[in-house]
Amino acid sequence: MTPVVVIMLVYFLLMFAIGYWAKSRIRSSKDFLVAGQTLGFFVMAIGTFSSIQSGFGMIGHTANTYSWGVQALVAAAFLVPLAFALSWFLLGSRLYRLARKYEVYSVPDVIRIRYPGKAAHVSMSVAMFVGSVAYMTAQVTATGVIVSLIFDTSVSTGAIIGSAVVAVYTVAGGMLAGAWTDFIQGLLMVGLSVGAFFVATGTVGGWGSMLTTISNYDLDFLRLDASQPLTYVYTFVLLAILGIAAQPQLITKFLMLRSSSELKWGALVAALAYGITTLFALGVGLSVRALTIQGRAPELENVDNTATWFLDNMVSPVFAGFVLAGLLAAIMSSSNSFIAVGASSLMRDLTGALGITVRNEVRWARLASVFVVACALVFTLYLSQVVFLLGALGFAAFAAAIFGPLALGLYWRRATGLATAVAISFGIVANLVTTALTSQEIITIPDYIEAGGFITVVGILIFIVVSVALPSRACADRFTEMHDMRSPTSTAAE
Amino acid sequence: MSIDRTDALVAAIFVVVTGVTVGVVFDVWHLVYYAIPSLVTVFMLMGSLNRRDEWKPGATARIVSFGAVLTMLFVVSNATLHSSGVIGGLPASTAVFVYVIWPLTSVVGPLLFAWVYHTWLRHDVDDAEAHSATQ
Repeated sequence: MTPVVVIMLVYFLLMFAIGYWAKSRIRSSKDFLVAGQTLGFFVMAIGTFSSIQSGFGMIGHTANTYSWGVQALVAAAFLVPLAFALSWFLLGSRLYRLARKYEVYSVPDVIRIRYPGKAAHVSMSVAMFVGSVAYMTAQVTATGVIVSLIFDTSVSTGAIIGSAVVAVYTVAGGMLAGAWTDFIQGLLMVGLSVGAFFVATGTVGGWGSMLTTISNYDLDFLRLDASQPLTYVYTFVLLAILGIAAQPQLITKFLMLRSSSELKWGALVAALAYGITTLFALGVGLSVRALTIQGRAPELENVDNTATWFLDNMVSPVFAGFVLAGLLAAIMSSSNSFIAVGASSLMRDLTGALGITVRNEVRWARLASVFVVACALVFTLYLSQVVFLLGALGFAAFAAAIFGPLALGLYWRRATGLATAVAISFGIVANLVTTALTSQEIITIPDYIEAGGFITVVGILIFIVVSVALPSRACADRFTEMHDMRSPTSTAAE
Repeated sequence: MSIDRTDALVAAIFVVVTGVTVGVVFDVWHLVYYAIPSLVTVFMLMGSLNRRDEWKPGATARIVSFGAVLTMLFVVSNATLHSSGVIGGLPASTAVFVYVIWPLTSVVGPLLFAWVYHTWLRHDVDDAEAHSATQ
């Protein structure tokens, strides 16, 4: 048994142990879906960052850094810590208040309370379920790749093993297990990123020597306009910043805090942790580029193999084992959040919107969790031709569908349920249609347009325009009631 | 309904986001680029409103200052985009992002939230805390 396999088995056992511990504490759907509102700021913040920092953030950013240069991280990472500050500013205190005043366990719950009528609630519930299965499918595929590398299996077998591990501890312990495994996984990611940065830059003589090697060969590779058009790069920045504040796995974490004092330092912890994990892509991506220039690494035909080539060829098996465990942690920490979000949308939100009463919510939440994982596995194993379409329903669709209705809606009394339903429909349909048409080469999008970011900003415009053009007195009254705001006349009379 | 602070901020968001849309469609990257510090500042200002649509003057000044510094760094990076200068092994415009903006976003932005929350926003949730405790 190789050291890598031993490390992975220990990691899996730790996850199972947390799931078993959490299972003994699950008494209600509140425990299962929002960890019983027991989390402190450190666990919540590390869990939040780790559920956002997915496999794409670690492996994909490394590949793009190797291929595009530093501009890849300008586009997708260096400004992302601001997203955590914005999330805490925009959502922190308002969601905390809602969670204490109402029974709020999910994004559709927030929408139900903010907007009267069923349209907004139903459309957000459907969007959550579809988006969660889509996101899970992408994570299952990535899990399959990593597990197959470690255990020398096929990608399909790897996907089944990895999904089974996540499913076991999430189904057993819900978000209580999810939050604590996210916490452990987040710490692992921070540690591996710092280690990988120094090991990677060390292989080419350190940070300064690495940059000298690259700049002597091609200084333009390190420029902001190295390869991708600047409009594309900065639209990606907007997608990342606005999109993160609209991801359900982040939003629901605010509903899990145990007291208001836990809000203060969470943004700093999450932003710092995310910033530190950017070191992985920065160090590994640029060092492999420098190794290629020195002739010590081949020019990689598939840039997605940048991280795995580095681990295979430049570090010890034990260190590679820890890094692979960290990469798997990045994927799993996103997966378990979406299992819980998808289960909640199916068992609680959709049924509630349709007027169906669910008894024994914990049992149904567990069954719904299994159903979400099963859907993702079926798509991955048997319907691979639609996986790319599901990918379009992940991050960008959530960004376009949620930012306006939730982040703006919590502050703006003119926001309406109709605008919410329109923005959600637009976000999902526009991302799906764009992906389908471009993949079939029916339309060609200019290379300076980052479609996901563009759809997100148009979604915000649509939300504002529809809210102003078709105002709703009921939605404005609900806003007043939700925030316990009194009109000046009633206050004066009192 | 009368116009309140949130309405004014949503109007500002609408203007900036419309600029982004024009910039993306016609490949005018400056419109997208300068929208980043603008939107961050506007959203921070919105997030510092309490539920009665009120600001704390000191908090507003700090948020505007943060936005001004961020915008200035964006201007510096833009101005040095095609310069031959190298700072810390990186072209000057890239170095501004790696050595200054990255730490600023990772540390100063979240610290600003901690200060605004401690001095202002936490009062907004205290009554919810009390309400929850009595249940």
